[in-house]
Amino acid sequence: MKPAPFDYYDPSTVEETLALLQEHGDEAKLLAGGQSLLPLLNMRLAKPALLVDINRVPGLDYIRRENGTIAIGALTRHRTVELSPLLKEHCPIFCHSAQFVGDIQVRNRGTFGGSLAHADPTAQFCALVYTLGGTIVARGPAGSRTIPIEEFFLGPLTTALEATEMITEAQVPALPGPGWSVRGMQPRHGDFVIAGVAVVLDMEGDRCRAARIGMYGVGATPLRAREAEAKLQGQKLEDSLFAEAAATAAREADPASDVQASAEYRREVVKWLTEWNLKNARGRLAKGGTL
Amino acid sequence: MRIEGEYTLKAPRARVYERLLSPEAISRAMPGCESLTPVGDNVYEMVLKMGIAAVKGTYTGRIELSGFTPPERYSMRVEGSGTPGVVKGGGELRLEENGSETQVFYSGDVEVSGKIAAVGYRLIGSVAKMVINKYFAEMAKQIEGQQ
Repeated sequence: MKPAPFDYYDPSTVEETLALLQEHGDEAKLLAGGQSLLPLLNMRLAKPALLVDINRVPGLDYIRRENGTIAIGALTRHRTVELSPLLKEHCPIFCHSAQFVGDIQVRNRGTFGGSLAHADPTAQFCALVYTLGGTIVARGPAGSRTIPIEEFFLGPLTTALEATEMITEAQVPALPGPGWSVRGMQPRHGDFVIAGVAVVLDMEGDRCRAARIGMYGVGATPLRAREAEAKLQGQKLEDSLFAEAAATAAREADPASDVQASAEYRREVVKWLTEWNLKNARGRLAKGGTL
Repeated sequence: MRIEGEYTLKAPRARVYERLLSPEAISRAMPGCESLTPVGDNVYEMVLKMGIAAVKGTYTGRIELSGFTPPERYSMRVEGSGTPGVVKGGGELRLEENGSETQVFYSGDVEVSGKIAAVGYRLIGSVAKMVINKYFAEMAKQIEGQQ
């Protein structure tokens, strides 16, 4: 299969990229790693008039720690995220999760910013940035703006980005400790998940100060199970509480039915994964000497 | 693929029923609707322009309304095709009065074929949900704004 004809530009600065976007609006499509866009082009489902290849734009490939925040440049490859010593130390949930993103070839090309901009409701990095309450930094003709992740995903493959804007960075807080876990249920390794759950437990002694439970593949965008999180707050990490939180999370999910799984089945999977992840996070806390 | 859900509108049932069947209200509420033309009794032809991310397309289709039991229920058949694929489906809308509000329950089966089905099947469920919610949100604006 071959794509429909398109014009090709390869700007060498962010400014040139933005000028092209401003000139062509939504006729133009940014090409980063191309792991989602190229299949769409080859199937001729997407027929943009021009591609703006940003792979030669310097200065967008980095992972930095600034105070308690980790900044990930838009052109950072998934493989770089997977192997980053800085993330391993301060936000290992990303390194762990990366191994389930596509396969190594996909991770060598796919980019962090590309995954966020594509906004697939099953994407793990979208879900993790959402769960952690991160921020998107976007640049457009009027300069830079930050978008809280809660306002960024509007629907499947739909974000708050304007046609004249590009993501330059994503920011996430460092994890509060070893109380984290993420797991998705995939029909095959590296495939899109049927449902996935990520949890982060912030502890104070043996009690949970605050919990974050993110769900993906069970709604039009990543979701938070806020009621389930509230149930954990201020509590000891008991099995019975986990079961209750998991049942609550399953109710809070908003899944759709498709060929792979019915909505009811997805809720069951969310319940199972939430409980599993909570126990796994507790296990990490115990192993890390925090419990 | 089964599509079902519900939406609550803050208006009496008879009023909601009447508006849901009004071609003018349908064409205003349907996201991306370019035109809606009557071609027979309760049969309409519709042109839709829809795009999710880079996948944009123009779809032409037919809507057929039937099985009227005012103000409780009616049925709907939809057929549409565009470059990305073909959509066919049918279902029932049921209206329940709940105090001063009306709950609309919809359920139906939709078949999607063509390229979009091959590549995007796992997204169709959540895209459909988004479109339906936008449709009812716009209907709600119309109905509740007119009181």
